[in-house]
Formats: sequence, C-alpha cells, structure tokens
Amino acid sequence: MSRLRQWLAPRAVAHAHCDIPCGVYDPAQARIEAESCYKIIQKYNDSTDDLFRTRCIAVKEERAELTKHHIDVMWHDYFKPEHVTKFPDLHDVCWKASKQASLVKRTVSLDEAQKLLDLIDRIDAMWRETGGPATTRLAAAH
Amino acid sequence: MIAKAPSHGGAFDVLHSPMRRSRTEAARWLARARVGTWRVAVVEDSMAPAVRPGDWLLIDPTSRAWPRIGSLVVFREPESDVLAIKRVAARGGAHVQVEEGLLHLEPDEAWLLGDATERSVDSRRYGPVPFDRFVGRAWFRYAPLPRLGPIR
Repeated sequence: MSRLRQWLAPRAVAHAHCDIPCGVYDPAQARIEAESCYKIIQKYNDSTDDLFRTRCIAVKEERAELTKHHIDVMWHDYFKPEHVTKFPDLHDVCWKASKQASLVKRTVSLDEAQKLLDLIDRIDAMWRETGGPATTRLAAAH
Repeated sequence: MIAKAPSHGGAFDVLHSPMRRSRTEAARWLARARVGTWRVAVVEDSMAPAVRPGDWLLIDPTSRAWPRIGSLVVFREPESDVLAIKRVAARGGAHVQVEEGLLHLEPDEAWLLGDATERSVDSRRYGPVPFDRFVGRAWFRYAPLPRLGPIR
C-alpha cells in the first residue's frame, strides 16, 4: 500500500502561498485574564491590609491590560469580513469589551468585572459559531 | 499507447482523419506531460476550500484551455520561482484595480489571486504573471479519496 502511495505521490509541491500568522485563537485567553481581575477585585474588597490592597491594584491593572490585548487579537486577527456579515454587532461587541477592559483597569467594581466577562462570553459565542474551536485550536492529546 | 498513423488509404483515411488529428494532439500532450509537471501536492491554505493543503492534483500542461478566468493555475512565482497555485482573476487586455489606480494587463499576462483574500500572497504582492511562467491548469484532485473530483 505504501509503495502504491509512493508511486502515486506527486513529485512537485505547489504553494498556495499565504502569510502565516500562528492561527491559534481562543477567547479563553481573554477570559482567564478577566477572571483574574474579577477574583482580585473580590480579594481587594475583602481585605483591610493596605499593602495587600495595593498589590491587588497593581496586579489587576496588569491583568486588565492583558485582557484587552487578547480581546484585540480576536477582533483584529481572528474575525474576518464574512464573520461581520454573519454577526452585524461583532465590531460593537469587541469594541465594548475592549473599552470594558479599560474600565476594569481603573475600577474595583465587581459588577464592571462581571460585565467584562459577559462581553468576552459573547465574543466566545461568535468564535464558536464561526467554527473557531475546530479551526484555530489543536486537538489536545489525552 | 500512441500507435503509428494507420496506413490505410482512400475513404478510410478520410473517415479517420479527425481521429488521427486527435492522436497527434494526444502525442503532443503526452510529450509535454512527460517532461513537465503533471501532478502536484498542495501546501499552504490560501486556496481553501477549493483546494486544501495535502491535496494531490492533476495538472493539464496544454495551453489551449487556459488561462480562463476562474481557472486554477500552477505557475512559477515571479520573485521566488517557487511553484505556486492561484486562481486567474483577470487576463490580458483587462484593467485591474490596484492601490495606485488602474493597471492595464499586457496581452500575455494574467492577474492571479488566492481565494482566501485576506491572507493570500498573490498578484497584489508581486504583480501580473506572464503566461510563460505558467506550468498548467489544475483540473482534477486524485487524493484524498473522499475529495476526489474535478477542481472548480
């Protein structure tokens, strides 16, 4: 069989040449950073230790910035014009999520952190609907 | 496979002349096919879903049927000389819209584009491709078996 395959195999390779970004996208990356923000805000509100609270603020700002970055990667790199046709509010959702990440960066409101998670979940739904899990993630070896 | 021209005479010859002509064509086709590239394996995915990485394609190296607009052609990329596959978007005499304005294609040139326009590297990068860089038209996929069939 392998000999037949070898015999049938083309000798030449034709490149359907394209620019290659890594092609791996998953809103889970943004979601994890946003969950960090959420939990840190909880810890901040539960604590009376000034030093700890200061550290919470520093870490939250860093995580919120990462959340924003991962949202932007989905928006700029994963989503294509045909996805916008399918979801006319795609730009609006990504824009709001990005803005919400900025808001979470400068507030300690748990409600605002929850809103950010909800917006990321809407991005996640669009990613799933457009076949993201099958096309942008490698299957894990169990 | 290519037999000598039949040596019958008279009416029989007249009767078979179209056949003989097609045999000459076939002989020419075979000669070109033997020296040229007549099957390729595809890598990279700018032509998905029409052809995908891993597809094995048959290439028609005769020039009569191509490059029609919409045909998939295998050619040598202008800058790199690498064997590439793209779709004919426009051919000689046509005007194509580029960033700087309208570009007029010479009679022996084609404008080749990938189907996945947002990431394809094609004529938008390296300009029109002269016909003499063409290797053939991709016309049939013979592997993988579930996707066996003509290329559109």
